[in-house]
Amino acid sequence: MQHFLSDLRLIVISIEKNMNIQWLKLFDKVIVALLGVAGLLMGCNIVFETPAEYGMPHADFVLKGTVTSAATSQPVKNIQVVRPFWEYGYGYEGGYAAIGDTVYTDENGKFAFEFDGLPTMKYQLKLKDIDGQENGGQFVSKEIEGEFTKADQEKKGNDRWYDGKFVKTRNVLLDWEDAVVPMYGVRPAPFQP
Amino acid sequence: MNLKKQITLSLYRQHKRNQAQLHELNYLFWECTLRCNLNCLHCGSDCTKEAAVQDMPLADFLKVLDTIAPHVNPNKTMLALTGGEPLMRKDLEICGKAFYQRGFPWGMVTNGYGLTRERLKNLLNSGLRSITISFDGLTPETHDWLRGKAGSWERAGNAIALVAATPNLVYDVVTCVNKRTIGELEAIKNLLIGLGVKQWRLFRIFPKGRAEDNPLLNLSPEEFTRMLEFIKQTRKEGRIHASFGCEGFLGDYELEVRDTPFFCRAGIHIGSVLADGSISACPSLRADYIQGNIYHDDFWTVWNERYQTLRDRSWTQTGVCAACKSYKYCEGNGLHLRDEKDGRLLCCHLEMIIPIPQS
Ligand code: SF4
Ligand code: SF4
Repeated sequence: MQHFLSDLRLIVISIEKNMNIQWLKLFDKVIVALLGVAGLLMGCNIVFETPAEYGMPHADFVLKGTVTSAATSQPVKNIQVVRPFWEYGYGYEGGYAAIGDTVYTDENGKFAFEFDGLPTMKYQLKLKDIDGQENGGQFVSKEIEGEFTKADQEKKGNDRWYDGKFVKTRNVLLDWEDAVVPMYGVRPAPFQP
Repeated sequence: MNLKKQITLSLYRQHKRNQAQLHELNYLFWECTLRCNLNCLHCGSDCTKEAAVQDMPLADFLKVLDTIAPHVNPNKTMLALTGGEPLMRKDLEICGKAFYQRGFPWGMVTNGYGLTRERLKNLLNSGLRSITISFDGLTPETHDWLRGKAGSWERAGNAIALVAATPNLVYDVVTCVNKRTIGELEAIKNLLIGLGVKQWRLFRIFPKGRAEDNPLLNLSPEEFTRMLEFIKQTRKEGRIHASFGCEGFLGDYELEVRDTPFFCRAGIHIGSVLADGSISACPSLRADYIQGNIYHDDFWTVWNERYQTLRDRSWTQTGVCAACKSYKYCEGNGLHLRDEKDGRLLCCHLEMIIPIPQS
């Protein structure tokens, strides 16, 4: 499902760049319909996660954590952490597009997101080592999912639309890419088409 | 060793076992020539200007690639060209293009002597993705002495500067540390940083081939430990990513001087096609380690059905290794450090690590 969604996201972005507005709108309808189905399958509402205006329940979220090397237990700096979500009215008129909030872990391997949205409670993070060996090895990319729970609620909601503030710490362990550098061999490199 | 490290190494041990069972080929050496333009004191192969063994025709190696391509993901199978000196092959660009067309990333290990800006450009256009350049001394005196040719230091330095300034090319510099250079490491480090180098691999010269009888080449236990300490400190500094070569279980230095714990992947992830068509693992594994020959065996069949001694290392638990407490992590050292005829251990890294006064 995740692959399907990230593929979709890429398709959306590339079509957004290459097609005219009419086609984009039509395409977007198809995408939104598909997303509805995808959301149902995943048990969450991915299409309407972040409404533009609040006529619906909403909450504040803080999602933070530390990225650590599974093998050395050392914090890993400069890991790209993307929180993908869907937003109304982004990039073109009247549609939903996939965008991502992107941060990078600091010297201590820490990252944090603050956002508001529908209290669907689910989140997804995509972690990627973007600087090769420089942060202590090449780490395998990872995608994680999870949910905010009542236990994460730091601030109560009101009796209107506001559901309060949720703060979650989600630490992530990253594995090394098994870098084979035998004696008298070269460092492995990805193929580049 | 602290508990955290012990747990890591124990988990990693299981990972190694699993990997040995899976034995997924993801790294293939091609000894594309035995010709060389230098005359290194420590050379493992018997390279000369005009080698007795002819360069393997590209078509023969491509047949091997075509037999493995349906079974592996070519995009994730690294081809490492070694020699001799790969740049001695005039058709290197043609070879590279053929690998690229088949979807294999490829790289080469070079002494840099023949790497001009023009040649590098052509190689990059032929899909070159990774390069390793040897740099063995702070001055021509120590480098050219080891490499056996005047002018090789300068050429290697120029090649390194070229490569370090090339965007999107994976590379590293390797240094064979010996008695004459152990005291120069700090200065070599600064020189490399000045050239823009980010990745530096250091090894010890292993006592084989031409190296065996030269007392200046082999580090003493104290010098060896100093080198590990130097790598550890350099990694902490974070100005250049230094690491020790793939060989040897290093006890407390595990995970301090390399990105991953010790794992000799020969025959597990690493295969090779040597100049005469022999099918092996790392190029230094010859004689009894040879599993077949591409001129009368199918490489993929050999990869799947042979290599038993490389994947099940229990035979190495003899001699000092039999009573060694670290055997479970080490499994008898890298295979190139076991005699290719009788399997005897030639060198134990752990034994070479001694307490030294902290400088
Ligand atoms: S004695 Fe053998 S098993 Fe033990 S560390 Fe040395 S080489 Fe490895
Ligand atoms: S045989 Fe030696 S060079 Fe090859 S992977 Fe093992 S330790 Fe490294």
